[in-house]
Amino acid sequence: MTKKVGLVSAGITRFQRRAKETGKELSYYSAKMALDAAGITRKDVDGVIIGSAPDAFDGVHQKHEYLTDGSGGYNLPTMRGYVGGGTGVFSPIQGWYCIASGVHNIVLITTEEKMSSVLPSTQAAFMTIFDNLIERPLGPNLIWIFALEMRRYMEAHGIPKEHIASVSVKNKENAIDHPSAMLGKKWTLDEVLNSEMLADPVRLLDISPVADGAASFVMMSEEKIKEFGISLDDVAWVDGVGWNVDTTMWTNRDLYYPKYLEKAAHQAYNMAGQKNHSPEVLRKWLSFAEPYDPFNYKELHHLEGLQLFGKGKAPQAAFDGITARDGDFPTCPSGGLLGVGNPIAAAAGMKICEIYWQLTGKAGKRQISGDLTRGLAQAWGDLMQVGTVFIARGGRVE
Amino acid sequence: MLPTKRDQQGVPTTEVWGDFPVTYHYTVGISGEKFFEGLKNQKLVANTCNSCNKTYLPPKLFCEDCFDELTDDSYKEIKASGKLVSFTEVFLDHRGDKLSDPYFLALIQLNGTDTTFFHKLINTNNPTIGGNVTAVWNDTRSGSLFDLNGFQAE
Repeated sequence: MTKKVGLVSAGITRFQRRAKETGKELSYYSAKMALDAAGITRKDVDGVIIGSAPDAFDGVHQKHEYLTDGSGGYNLPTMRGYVGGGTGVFSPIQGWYCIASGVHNIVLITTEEKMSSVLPSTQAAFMTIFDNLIERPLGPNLIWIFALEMRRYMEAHGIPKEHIASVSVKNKENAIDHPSAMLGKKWTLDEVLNSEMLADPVRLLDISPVADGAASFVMMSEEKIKEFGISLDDVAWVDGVGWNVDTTMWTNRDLYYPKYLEKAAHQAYNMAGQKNHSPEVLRKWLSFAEPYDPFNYKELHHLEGLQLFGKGKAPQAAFDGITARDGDFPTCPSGGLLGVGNPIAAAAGMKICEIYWQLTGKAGKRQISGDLTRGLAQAWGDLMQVGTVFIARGGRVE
Repeated sequence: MLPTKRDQQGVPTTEVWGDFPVTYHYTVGISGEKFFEGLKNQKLVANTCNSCNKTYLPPKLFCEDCFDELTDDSYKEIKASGKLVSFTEVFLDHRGDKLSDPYFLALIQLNGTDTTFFHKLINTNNPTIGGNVTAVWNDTRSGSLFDLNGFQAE
């Protein structure tokens, strides 16, 4: 029997192209903000989780050790989980199992990325995640291989680029209301469709910007929530978690559909007691979602993997406004990676913050109207084949 | 090295430059040796899992699904032609600078394999998804990925 676990606070830094703070200083600011918001100190914490993506960005090998002090880990059981871009949603899963298993009672989780240190560019560092012999000689970076995936997805379903571009318009506009955002702005569909070509069919406004930033959250067991007298209005219970990895070779599967995510989603829905995984039922059961959107097509691709829309159905729904913040099923109300920015692990951590703030009515100008019951955050990583899923429900929702 | 003050996108920062002073000699591996030896001899070498019949290109030491070891007799030469699954034309280099000659990269499913193969698409301006492509070999081969110049439409 696992223990009931709740998110009780969140903290975040601004996301910036280049922050003046080091990675550990960014970690400190978000961790401190989360502790303060929970009304506790580091001395109350009995476990620390650090989530951060490739060491090559910060330029410090084993960077979890380097980030430990800023993340609050001094003299505490501390660990880092790492599943590439999926890390920011995997870190709270680790926090959940540390408490659910009874090992810890209060866990501080920090996700961090300092991407501006590496020269000549993050994409040059990304080249080193590919196979040394059969892929690196071709000099691939992530923009290029995602272009291959985007084209495969568009070809498989006959998706018009306008439908995909509408996701950029939505998320960048949502980000206007996020205090951490880099790129909150109202763009027109034409501006997105005609932005600079990077790797056909991917254009500049189809993708999210690299950034420096950190995001943190505090999780507690139900007993500790009671002991600290935390109101259930300030709690979001962990409802379901899932994670999965497909073949290690990104070339060894059909890129049109994220099977790894389907499996992770089934795991999370089943854990939450939701056995019917049809899109209509799931969209009613969840109030909103924060699918991972480093590229605009990925939000749609992921919504299909999450079973929230049928295969090939998400693009039309996005274009029709169903996923707008005031639509029937809001997605990325935060502004997502496309609008808030993409400091890898921290960007997915930002989505966990958004789930918490939305479910506890603390999302400010971004607050979705109406009674919210459940929210889902999801991330994608490693070399295109990891899916991580996290579902939370409101503190008073049974 | 002494700290330098720089202004980057309007953010004044104090920086010290540095690097990871390491290089690597990567092991080619059991299946990799057979693959690259094949390329040197103008052959595409794949291998097939006896349990599930999945054919891998490049070949693997083990089937990732069945987890069976793929032994020496699992390797075979395949015909160097297949179908175009996806492609991209790339316009910028890793620094974000414009390439003087944009070029095509592609995913190709070689006939008789269950995986796709990542390489250049050459001698084309208008690729067709699902179209037949064939390998173009380099006259000088040394056992590297560029023993293949790329693939072109048949």
